[in-house]
Amino acid sequence: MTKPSKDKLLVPCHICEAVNEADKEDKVYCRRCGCKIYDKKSKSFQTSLAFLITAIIFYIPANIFPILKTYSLGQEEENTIMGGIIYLWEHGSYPIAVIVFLASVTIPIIKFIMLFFLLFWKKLNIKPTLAFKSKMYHLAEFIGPWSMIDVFVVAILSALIHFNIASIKPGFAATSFALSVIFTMLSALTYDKRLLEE
Amino acid sequence: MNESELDKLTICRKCHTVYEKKPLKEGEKAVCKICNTVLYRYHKRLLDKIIALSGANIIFFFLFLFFPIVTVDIETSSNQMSVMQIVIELFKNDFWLVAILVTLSVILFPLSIHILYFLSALSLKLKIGKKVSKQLLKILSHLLPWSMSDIFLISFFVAMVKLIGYARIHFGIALLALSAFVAIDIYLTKYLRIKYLWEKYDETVKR
Repeated sequence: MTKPSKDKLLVPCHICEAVNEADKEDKVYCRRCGCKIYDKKSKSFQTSLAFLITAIIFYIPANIFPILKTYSLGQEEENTIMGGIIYLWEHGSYPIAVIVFLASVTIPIIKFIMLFFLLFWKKLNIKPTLAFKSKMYHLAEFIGPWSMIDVFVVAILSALIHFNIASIKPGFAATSFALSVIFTMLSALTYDKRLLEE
Repeated sequence: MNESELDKLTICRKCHTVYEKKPLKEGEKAVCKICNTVLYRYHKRLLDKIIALSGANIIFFFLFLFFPIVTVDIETSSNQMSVMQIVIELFKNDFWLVAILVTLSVILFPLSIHILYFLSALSLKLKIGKKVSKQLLKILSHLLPWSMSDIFLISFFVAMVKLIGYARIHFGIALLALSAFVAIDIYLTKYLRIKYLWEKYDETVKR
């Protein structure tokens, strides 16, 4: 078997997982499915960074504004994401409080940090190994959608509870949180895979 | 390196270590030395399994969508709902963006994914329409990250826990269907991974 020469890289396609040979060229398209693996012309870095910044901007109102409005016997109560978690904890639903805390607070923040690191490791003057970077990318991609839990919970509750004596209405934070999750997922998907291989 | 040499290689999807593939016997799997990720498995009758499971899951899909998933009683009022009604309710409440998101990630994408699995495996099995099966596989690969039925199931349980103490809850038949759907979905996407279908596609094209 001929070994790949030194100026050639072996890269996986992120769509069909075929092994591709990359020259020192600036673009590689998968030999099997034809999807882009990386292309310097396509400005993946800027796109990914733009999506990430948008996600962070949406994450701020998601934490400030109420995610849930409860009307019960004429009384109105508003809950933010953190408020809801504290409420669950105080009422003894510890496992659920932990799940919601992980999904809506820890995961988004960890994912922002990971994507920032993956985008800017070159400028930070550190040289992480290929294995470290790709494991991190894989993790960021995997945990991303799990922060949708809180949004789905609000959606289900608001659809189920609309009685005369009690009703639940979604707040503005739910929408902005959902947008934040979608934009982090887009940021991970448009991420320039060349930065992984370098 | 030429195509057939590249085809003999595999790259660990987690840590990007390059390996040369070796043929496996039944029940064996190849594991990455460095991070212990499964590189590939021996799948007996892969296409048959995919056709059967995705076909079954399309049926489970309609069961969980249209049958009541839960009944909530508060005092004397009662409210029975299916997943479809939950989504319609979201649209009625002008919760547009989340309503659209739920429609896409819990209804449209999971359904399309299973239909695409079914059709692409069937076209590979019958060895018809190579170009079509490539297109089907391509769309399927792009849709996979956007399916969130598993997250919806977990969210449903979290929502039910939040209701304990406020309301009496009776689960409906759709909850079983949704659980079955999610279990098969995970088996299809994480165990019988799409990469094996791509390899089958390679085999039929190159033969």
